[in-house]
Amino acid sequence: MNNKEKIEREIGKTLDQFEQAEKLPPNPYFYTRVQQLIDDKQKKHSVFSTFMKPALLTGLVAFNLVTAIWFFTESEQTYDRQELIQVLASDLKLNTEQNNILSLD
Amino acid sequence: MMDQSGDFRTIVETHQEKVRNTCFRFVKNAEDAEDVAQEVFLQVFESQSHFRGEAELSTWIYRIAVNKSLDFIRRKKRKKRFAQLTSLFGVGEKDEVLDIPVPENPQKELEGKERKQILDWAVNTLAENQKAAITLSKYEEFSNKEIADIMEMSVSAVEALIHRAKKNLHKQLYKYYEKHI
Repeated sequence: MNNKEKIEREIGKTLDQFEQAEKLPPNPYFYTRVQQLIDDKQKKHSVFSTFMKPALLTGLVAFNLVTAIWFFTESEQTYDRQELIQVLASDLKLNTEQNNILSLD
Repeated sequence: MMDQSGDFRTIVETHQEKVRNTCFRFVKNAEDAEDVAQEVFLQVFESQSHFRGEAELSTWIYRIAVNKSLDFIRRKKRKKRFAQLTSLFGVGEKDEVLDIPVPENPQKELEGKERKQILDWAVNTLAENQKAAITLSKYEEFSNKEIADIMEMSVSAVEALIHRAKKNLHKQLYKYYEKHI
């Protein structure tokens, strides 16, 4: 038998292992385990829904309120129109001696 | 479909053996197969509203089983690659990774267990869809029509996949035995 024939014989025997494949033994506790997984997941979801969601929502609303209150109290100083334009212009570096393009005079 | 827990229990008991064994064919480890199979039925329970009866219930369940098994294999491969990378830098545990089985004594006739390892290794080298098709066909003895329904492709596509898988298996095994006998 030459080498190629030997190899082909080995391949054939190896492929025969498809028919010899072992099966898992039955598991009488399988359904119990699945039911436990489902129950655990439902418990976690319930804790989240009962406590975390309302807490998160309250936190968000409170944060927004605090931010809004802070914003409006910090904004006591109001600019008149000219001052506001000058502030914007200096931010945008438009207000120079040579090029005061935002002068309204 | 499953509004009573009794219905769901019946579904689990009817399909668990085949699902567990299908998962086992892919993941190759009994404990992992049990975990994956449990995840399959958890998803079946949670996704019951998505099942609209376009396919047979069993087809839908085995589709979930194949997808979950392939996800598991992908996650395991990623972990392995990461472990190999970290071991290169001397970080983490050094795991000996034996991918290619080597016969203990090349002169001696291979035993069934060794041949099974070699076959598992060769199947593992196949592309995912070829691996899935050949596993469902050869190990679980699904018909080509059933495989087509599970994998959501035509029967001729499944036949082509199985043909390519057999060809690639033969190629891999030839290379292996050329080297080791």
